[in-house]
Amino acid sequence: MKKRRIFLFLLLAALILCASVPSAMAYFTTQTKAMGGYTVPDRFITEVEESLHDWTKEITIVNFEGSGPIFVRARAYAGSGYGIEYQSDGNWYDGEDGWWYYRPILYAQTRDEHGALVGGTASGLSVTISNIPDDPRVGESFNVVVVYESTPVQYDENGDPYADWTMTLDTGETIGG
Amino acid sequence: MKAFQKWRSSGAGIITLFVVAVILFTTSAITGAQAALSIRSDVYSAAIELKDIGVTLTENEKPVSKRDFVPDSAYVWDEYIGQLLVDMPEQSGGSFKIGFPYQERFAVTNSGRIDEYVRVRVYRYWAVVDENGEMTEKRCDLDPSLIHLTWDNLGSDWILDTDTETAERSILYYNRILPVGESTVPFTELLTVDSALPYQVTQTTENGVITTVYDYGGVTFLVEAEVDAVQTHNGRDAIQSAWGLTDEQLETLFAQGFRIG
Repeated sequence: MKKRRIFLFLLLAALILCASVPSAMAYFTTQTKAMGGYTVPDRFITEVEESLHDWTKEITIVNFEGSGPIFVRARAYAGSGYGIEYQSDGNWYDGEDGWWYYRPILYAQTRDEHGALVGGTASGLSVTISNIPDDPRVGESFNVVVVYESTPVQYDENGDPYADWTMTLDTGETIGG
Repeated sequence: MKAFQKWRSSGAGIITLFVVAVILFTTSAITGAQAALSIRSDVYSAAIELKDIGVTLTENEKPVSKRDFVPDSAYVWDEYIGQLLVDMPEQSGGSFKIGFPYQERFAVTNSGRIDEYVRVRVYRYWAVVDENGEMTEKRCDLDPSLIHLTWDNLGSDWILDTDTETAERSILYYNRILPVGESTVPFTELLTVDSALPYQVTQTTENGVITTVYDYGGVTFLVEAEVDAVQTHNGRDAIQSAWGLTDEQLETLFAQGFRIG
C-alpha cells in the first residue's frame, strides 16, 4: 500500500515535470555541394636521340607519353682542338650562356586515331664538328658529348608560361662521335 | 480530517486523486496549445512559407548545384548536384596544367523564397580515382596545401574561421543575411596546383639501379564545396542549432563582423 502510494506520487511528479519541458524547436535548413578535380601527370620522362652524318649530329629530344609539359635546352662538348657549330631551324635560340634553348613548350607524345605516337619531339638543332683533320688516321676517334636539361613549365600570375632553370628535372647526355 | 485521510488512503480515493491530477495536467496543456494557435493564426499566411528555403552553389557565375524546397509541396525538394572545375582546362589551352592560375570564383545564391544565413565548407585533398571517376583511395599521406585556393572578399563579406581551419578543410561564413534572389560576392579567386609538384620524388637504389618515383604522379587533386543555409527567423538560435556553434564561437563571429538581423 505504501509502495503504491509512492509509485503514484512519483508518476504524478513525472507528469508535472513533462508538462513543464518546453517544446523542441526545428529550424528550416538546406544544403548542397559539388566536387571536381584532375589527375596530374604520372611522370616527366625525356630522352635524347641523335643521328650522325658528315660530322654533324642531329639532336632530337623526346617527351614521353604521359609526361607533363616541359622546356628543354641542349649543348655539346668536344675535345680540345675541335670546334662546335650549331645550326637551328628557328625553334632553337642561342642563350649566349653555352646553352641552346628550344623556344616552344614541349608537350608529351600523344596517340593518333590509329594508336601511333605523335608529337612530343624537339628537333631542328644540329651540331657540326669543325677543325676536322684533312687526313684522319684509321681508327682515330673523338668524343662529342651532347647534354640536355628539362624543366616543368611554370606560369606567372597572368597565366603566361616561363622556365625556371634553377630547378631542372631531367639531365641527359650522349657520348660518341 | 480522519475521514478524509481514510478516504485518501482507500483505493477509490487514490484513483480519484490520480484522475484529478491527469485532468489538471491535460487542461494546462490544452490551454497552452490554444495560446499557440491564436498566435499562429495572426501570421498564418506567412508561416506557410517558412520552409521554402533554397540555396545554389555557383562557379564563375554559373550554377553548379542547388537544393530548393518546392513551394506548396509535401516536403519535395528541387535539387541538382553538378561537378566543379569542368570548364577549367579551357583557360589553359584545353588540358589541365600544373602551376597554372585558374580563375575559380565560387559563390552562393539564395534560390529559395525566404532570407537565409549561409556558410561554406571547402575541402582540398588528394585521391586515387579509377577510370570511371570513382575515388578508390584517399591519399592522406600527400600534402593538401599544394592545392592552392585563393580566398576573396574576406573581411568585407566573408569570414574565414581560422580556429577550425586545417590544410584540408576551411569554413567560411557570409557575414550577413542573404536576401531572396541575391548572390554573394565570390569567396574564392584562383585555383593553382603547386608548380613544385614534379619535384616531389622518392628515389630508391637497388643493385646499382636508381629508381625515381614521382610522389604525386597519377594522383588526382579534388576540391569539394558544401553550402549550408539556415532560416533567419530566430536567427541566433537557428544558427547555433543547425551549425553546432557554441556561444563562444558565435561571439567570435560577431567580433569579426557577423551580423544577426
